[in-house]
Amino acid sequence: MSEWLDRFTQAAAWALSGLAAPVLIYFVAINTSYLVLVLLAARSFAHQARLRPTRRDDDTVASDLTPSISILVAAHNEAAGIVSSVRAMLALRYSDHEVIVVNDGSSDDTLALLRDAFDLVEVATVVPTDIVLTRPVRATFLPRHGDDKLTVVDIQNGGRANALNTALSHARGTLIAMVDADSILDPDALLAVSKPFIDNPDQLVATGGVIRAANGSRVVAGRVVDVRAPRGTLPRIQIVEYLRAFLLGRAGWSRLGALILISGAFGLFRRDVVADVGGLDPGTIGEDFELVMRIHRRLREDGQDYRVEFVGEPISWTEVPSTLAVLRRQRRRWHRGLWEVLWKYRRMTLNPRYGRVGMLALPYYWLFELVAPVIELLGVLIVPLGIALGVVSIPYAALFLALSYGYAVLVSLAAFAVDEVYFRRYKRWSDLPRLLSAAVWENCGYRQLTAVWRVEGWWSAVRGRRPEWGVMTRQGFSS
Amino acid sequence: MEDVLLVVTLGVAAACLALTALIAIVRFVTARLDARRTRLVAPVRAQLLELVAGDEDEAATALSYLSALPTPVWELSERTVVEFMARLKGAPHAQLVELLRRRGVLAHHIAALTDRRTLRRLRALWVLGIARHRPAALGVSRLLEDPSPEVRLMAVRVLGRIGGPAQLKALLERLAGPDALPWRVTVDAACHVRRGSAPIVIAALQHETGAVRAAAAHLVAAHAIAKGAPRLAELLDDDPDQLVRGQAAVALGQIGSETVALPGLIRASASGDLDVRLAALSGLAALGGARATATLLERCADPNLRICREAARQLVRIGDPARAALESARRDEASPASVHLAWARSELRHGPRRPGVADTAPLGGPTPSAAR
Repeated sequence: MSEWLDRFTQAAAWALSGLAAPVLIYFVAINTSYLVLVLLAARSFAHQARLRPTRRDDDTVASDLTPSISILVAAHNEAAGIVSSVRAMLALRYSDHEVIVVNDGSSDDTLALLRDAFDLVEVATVVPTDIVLTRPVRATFLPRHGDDKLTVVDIQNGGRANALNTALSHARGTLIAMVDADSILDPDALLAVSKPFIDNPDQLVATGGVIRAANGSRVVAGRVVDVRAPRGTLPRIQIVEYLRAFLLGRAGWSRLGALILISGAFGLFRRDVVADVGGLDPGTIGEDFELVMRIHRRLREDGQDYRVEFVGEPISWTEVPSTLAVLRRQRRRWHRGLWEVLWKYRRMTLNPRYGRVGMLALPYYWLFELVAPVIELLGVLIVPLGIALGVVSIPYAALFLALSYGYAVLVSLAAFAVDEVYFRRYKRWSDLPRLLSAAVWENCGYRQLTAVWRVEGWWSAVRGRRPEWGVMTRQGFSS
Repeated sequence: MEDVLLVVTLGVAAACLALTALIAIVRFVTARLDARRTRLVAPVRAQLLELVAGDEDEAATALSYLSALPTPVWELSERTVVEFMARLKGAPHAQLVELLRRRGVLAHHIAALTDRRTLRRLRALWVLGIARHRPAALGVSRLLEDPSPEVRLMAVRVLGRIGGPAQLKALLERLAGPDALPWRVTVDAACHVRRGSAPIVIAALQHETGAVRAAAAHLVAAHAIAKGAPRLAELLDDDPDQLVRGQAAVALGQIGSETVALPGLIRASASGDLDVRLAALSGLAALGGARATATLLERCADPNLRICREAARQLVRIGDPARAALESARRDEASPASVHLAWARSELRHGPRRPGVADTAPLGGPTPSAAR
């Protein structure tokens, strides 16, 4: 027995000593890649900041030729904030936009609240069939006095993708903006996110806007009027995470010309391009990611010269999960979506035909997004196991962890520094230590937990379990 | 190995501390600079208000005060002055232009149009555009060929404010060729250049490039050049470019007489390219009248649902004059036509939302199906 134990210990020690270095290298590589993206984003923001004083949107607001925008909103049980969200969307500064809300079979008062608030009346209409819908339209509503450019469509519950496809079928705009029902847009968000389409109409097919966490901020009449760091540690950590991944990360990819993910919470697309590729795919849980990949694939295969860009200025505010249970559901869903899309488009990976998307972005997503939680958990397991087996000394283990997580903190601080220089949304001095400390706390349990949940999401997808959106309980904004 | 790890870890820790300190320093310094700027610019703001809203004496005093501001204060204030000027028109705007002239700002920015630094050229364009400084038009139109796309776009926008016939011609010409300017931005700017535009626009209707003809068609309506209507009718019927036909349809509806416009619009709305048909529906609504309304009612029964829906929307756009025709239209069948007519009726009953002109202007660029 003891001989067997010795052999096991020897084998484990051999395996651990072999694994420790690659895991450390992986940690360094992944954080270096983030740092490179942050630096690329910083260059991009520096360029925009230099041009900012000379940019005025008045021409766009006043012009008859400004491309029309349809804002598409899928609402499922959004009674808590749907009315203020829609009011804010209708009041956005833009010369020609409409809002199309699809009530996706809500079991709460979403539809009733909308009918009351906007004095909606049911009208007869026929839905064009250029996009395939999986659920029939039950009714279409318009405001009685026609003051607002609002259309509300009621359908049976069929998921977010089908709801957005229904909205897309009703859309008249040249451009479509997909926005989450609980998102709060800055007043000039449409102007900023549509500007690339006006300046570079020959190439632009989609733009994505920044998503920021609104927890803790003061919201009045559907507008974020006072940006503050939230009190809870969980949302605070996510603020840092969103800064690093959603603001700096995507700006970096955009700079590289290889942006493959536009968040469903705020993205602007050419309607004809989305309709031509068939709209959103109701069969996938990461429908926003999947749509962008489908557009890339189609346009690359057609040999078109096109661009998908990220715009750092427009802001969509969202409420990030403030409980572990909701965060777990979100992260499982995100990672499941990531896996589904990467697997679906695996033939594009490392395929020179798809340019930087195939040769750079997709391999990166496989290596540093999909596999990352597995390696991270491996690292977390190796260290105590190594110590227990006597293969790794405690000082070495401490240095291993300190370097891995110290580098991660450095990347987060770099992202925060870029945000501070170019945007500085959190103006209070008291917010500074809270957010800076969140960059440290992120590595003390949060990363490890989310890594576990992400692996869970991946595993459930690999096992072929049915995807579930799950209930996203929200606290609501303080007003 | 441990030593190497230790050194690297210490380096990372030091970098973290340095970044934290940097963030705090940036915040502190920025706050101080902002406060200084606010303090120095505050009296300038007060004088600016005197200059644009005060009586003659007050304005003269303010102008003298602002003209004599020490250079460091002026440098901090110039942006405020220009941004303020952007919101003004008429005499107050002219007062601020005079201030810029006295300070030599306009001459400085005209010279900066040839600066090798992109940002300088952009800033010069920005100031000259807001000042609507017509003498700069020639220099600005040269920047339509600038290597920087940002400068070219800004030059287009500025020419919309300060350009004359020569610049209008240059703008239209730059819609042709391999490095053509963005259509919407350029046409938008050209819409503002009305002085002496008629002969240039009429000539551009014959241009060999479709984008130029389409722009000219749009301008015929925007500048209300009635004598361009017959040529628009020809373009609507015969032009090989769908974009030109679409623009001609919309423009014809806006400025054409029933005799010149109606036959072509009816034909264009009945068959052919979808975008042109949609534009023709918009043209019919703009034209108005019994025959246009009757045609739109007919199109509500078109086999193409987008045509049905747009026809109904355009009936709503006509408003009250279409109400009687809508009410008398057949409503006993459950066809798409009756559904759309019912929608239009309810829209009119509840107060039309004015759906507006169909968006027929091109975005250009890639469409997946175009290559298939």
